[in-house]
Amino acid sequence: MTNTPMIQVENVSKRFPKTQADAVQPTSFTVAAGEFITILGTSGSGKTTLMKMINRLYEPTTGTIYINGQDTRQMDVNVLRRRIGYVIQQHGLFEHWTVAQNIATVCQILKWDKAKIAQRVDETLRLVQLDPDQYRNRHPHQLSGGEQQRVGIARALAADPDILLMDEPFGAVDAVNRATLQDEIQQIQRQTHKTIIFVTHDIDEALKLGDRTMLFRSGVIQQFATQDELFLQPANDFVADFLKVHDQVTQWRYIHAGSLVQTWQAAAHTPTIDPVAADQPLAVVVEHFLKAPATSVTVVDVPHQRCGELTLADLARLAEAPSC
Amino acid sequence: MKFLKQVGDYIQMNRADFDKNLIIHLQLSLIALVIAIVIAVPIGVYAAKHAKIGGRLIGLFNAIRVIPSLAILVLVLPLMGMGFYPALLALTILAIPPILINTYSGLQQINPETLEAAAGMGMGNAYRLRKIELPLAALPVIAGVRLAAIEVISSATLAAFIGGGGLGTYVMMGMSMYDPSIMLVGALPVTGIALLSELFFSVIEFYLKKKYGIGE
Ligand SMILES: Nc1ncnc2c1ncn2[C@@H]1O[C@H](COP(=O)(O)OP(=O)(O)O)[C@@H](O)[C@H]1O
Ligand SMILES: [Mg+2]
Repeated sequence: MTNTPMIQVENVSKRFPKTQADAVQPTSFTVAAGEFITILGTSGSGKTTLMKMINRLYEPTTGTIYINGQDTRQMDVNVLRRRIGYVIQQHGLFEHWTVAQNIATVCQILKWDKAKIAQRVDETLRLVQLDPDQYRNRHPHQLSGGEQQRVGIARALAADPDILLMDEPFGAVDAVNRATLQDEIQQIQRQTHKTIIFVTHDIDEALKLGDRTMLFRSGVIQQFATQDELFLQPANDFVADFLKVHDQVTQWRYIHAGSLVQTWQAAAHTPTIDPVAADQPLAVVVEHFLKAPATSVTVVDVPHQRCGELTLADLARLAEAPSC
Repeated sequence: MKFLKQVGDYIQMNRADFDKNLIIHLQLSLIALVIAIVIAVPIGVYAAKHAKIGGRLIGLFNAIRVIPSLAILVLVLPLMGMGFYPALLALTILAIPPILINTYSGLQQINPETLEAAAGMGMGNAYRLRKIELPLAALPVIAGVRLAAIEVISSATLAAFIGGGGLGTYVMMGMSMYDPSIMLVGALPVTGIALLSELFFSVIEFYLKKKYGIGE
């Protein structure tokens, strides 16, 4: 166990030539190994710019980025990039290559031997839920949008990088397929423990996928926190308005039941019938109250082996006194 | 039909001479085409990579394209005199623009995001050019070579006018003797070579499209 963050961004800013303002103002944050973070912001807020500085597609105007404690500027740029998976929204696949060739891109550059590449191609195809026999010899234009993004993810994973950068990877995929892809990338992250930085302008997607979400606006981090922190302690009015943290329905939808529990008890105490899991949204608690009127609903936090109670008053407090 | 027989008879009677002119015609066309490819593709790549100078270069070559073949052939006369090499130079100049312009536009058509994805995965510039850009531009480039080939094969007929030899010799001879059948001794094989060239490039395009999975 080391304390070195996987990614450390220190006072990094970007000013494009012939522009009046920084696309990204001096920004610092760290991402731990195995963390899945999302960067959320409206179009033009600087999300892509920030992300591209990590694999040096853009060179920062000021500041330093460390990966595993190493200054990225000291590294050969192509060596750095081969160690970072990169997935973009569209047009990322090479049309003249088959799915297998696309996935093998970095392995080929690294001159892996043929058998190892073939094996890895099949492995990653299975990881993204595509049958190797059916897909490996197809060309990108013979795939649906969702399948193309899956291949894009497989390609980014092929050389087993520690970090995955994803820039609105599901932006061009229809809603139904997007939800499936979101579940899959979550599953993949749990399986592979990659450190993932995922850019999106979709609030739901950002909150669903991120262990932490960075809300970005005009090149400045507004808040970088967990979903519950964003809703219970929004850093400023912009965050509160953008996420509609004072809207009751939004609160019920996004705040986790566990985050409102004030006193926890060891779980040895047998939970009442039909408890609510701590990582369920408040909506589930509300639903319990509606189904069977009671003074309180039990919340169980299985990972921490504890449980607590939520009352209607706890919910009401949320509505009255926005903590801001 | 009568003409065809006369053409056949003429070729039979002047076999050695005909073969020599046929070979010169093929040599002129092929060498001009190869030199043009070697010159035009790198310039096209350069033009596509350097937006400012590139635009001007393409404008220049578009202008050259407008000059009629015969004019170019005649223009090299004062420079190099008569013969095979002046004709070769003129044909090369003719062949360059279509190849160069198609290389340029083929590269320009590649989606910039595709290129960024390639760079983002750690491809060096040379590797990316070789593995991604040129293959993605291959169909337009080949279409350019195909156009250039037709142009060169037909214009090589005019080489005879500046003493370059080739099948045009018979066209000139036929004209001066008012004998259409002698003209056909030159014109028919030229047509045949042009058709074969078209066939050749169609086959290449077919296999390339198959390899790229286009139209499946
Ligand atoms: N290559 C570039 N040259 C100049 N300005 C740029 C460039 N890329 C992005 N910008 C500008 O920087 C700002 C942030 O862009 P971007 O990072 O793409 O935003 P986002 O990904 O959040 O939509 C925008 O105002 C955009 O116009
Ligand atoms: Mg963007």
